[in-house]
Amino acid sequence: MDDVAPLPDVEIGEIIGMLEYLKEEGGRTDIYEIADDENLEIDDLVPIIKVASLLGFVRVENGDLILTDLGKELIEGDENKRKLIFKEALKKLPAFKKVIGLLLSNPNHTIDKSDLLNLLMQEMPKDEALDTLKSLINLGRYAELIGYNPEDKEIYLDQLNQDSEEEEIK
Amino acid sequence: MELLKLKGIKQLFPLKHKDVVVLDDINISVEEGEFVALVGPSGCGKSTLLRIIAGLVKPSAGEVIFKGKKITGINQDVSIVFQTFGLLPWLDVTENITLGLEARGMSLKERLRKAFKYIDLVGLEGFEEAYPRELSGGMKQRVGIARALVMEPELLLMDEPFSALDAFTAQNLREEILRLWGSGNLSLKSIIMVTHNIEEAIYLADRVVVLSTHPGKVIGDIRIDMKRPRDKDSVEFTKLYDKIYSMVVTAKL
Repeated sequence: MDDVAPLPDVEIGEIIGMLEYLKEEGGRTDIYEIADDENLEIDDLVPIIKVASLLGFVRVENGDLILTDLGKELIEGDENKRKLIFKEALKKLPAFKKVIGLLLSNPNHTIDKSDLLNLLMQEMPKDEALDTLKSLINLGRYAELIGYNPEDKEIYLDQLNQDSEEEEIK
Repeated sequence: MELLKLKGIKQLFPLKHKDVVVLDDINISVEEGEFVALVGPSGCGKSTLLRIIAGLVKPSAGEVIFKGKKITGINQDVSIVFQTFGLLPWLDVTENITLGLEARGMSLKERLRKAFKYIDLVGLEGFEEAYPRELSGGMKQRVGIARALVMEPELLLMDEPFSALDAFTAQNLREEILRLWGSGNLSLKSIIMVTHNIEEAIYLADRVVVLSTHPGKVIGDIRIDMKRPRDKDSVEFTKLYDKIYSMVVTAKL
């Protein structure tokens, strides 16, 4: 599990809310102003910006936060369009590619939550691994790429994705 | 058409040596198609008023008239969304949403069909089997909203629904509520939302009713005629904000 950078655990709503705010500000604003305007600590804002930027919805330039064309498309779309954009963006993340690869190679296309955590802990400290795991499950569920069964504590590939993922790997 | 009428609602809170008047002579009408915000200082009985409207609390005096009939006991055509979500931790998302339908004696098949419809509507697809402990605040409130809407109420009551959420998530959910309200594919006729956030009230509602405190009385009823989506930086918005803010401050003094 190399090349997997820690992924902060942020709410989907926080990402979308921030993009909506950016759009209202004309697509570009000073990061410090966001913190001020929305009464947020910079420490709370940074993880949201990080995830949004990893997914390609924003970019940071000279202390400014800028809404990308993809981010604009996301905000202007309906719920179905948003999920589709999220899904495609998520599939490009190295962490997700690894998880999908693991799921495809495992029998039943599942992996135990604790097994995935152990793999992540080989790349990063436990705290970051826990956050990354939570984030992967949260974002993956929203994008309907993966599911998580809390009874069995198993992560699984969303049924609809199994065939398309197998095609892509080929 | 009038959906709800509050006539002379009075609520007393008994103390050892006297009764505290929490609400005094509240008379409000809500028409079908109205989104009403109730604002006022904390402790002015806004949440109590909401519970009286739902039939959860019997007022000390006065009547709640719903669709022309006096309400005694719980109003079946009303649902509530709570500030702290109120989800049952031992039930997953789907079960939390369908609990009320089960109480109505609906079949499992029909319950699931309805649940999935509203899960879809509020953007919870993918989380059907999640437990509340796995969910962020925003997701929990989406469950709260789905749970309220699945009962297909005519009147939706919301008690500070976004106050426990961070700024961005709250804004995201406000937009969701507006989207649902404007979609026209719900049985919902009217919404009454309690909030201490004046900006939120003006952003969302058609009407802002201002209550004073000690005792709670209606001291203002302002129509918001702006087209949605509303620009918080516009002159009109700012004027309304100033007006309502002064009313609330005066009520506090």
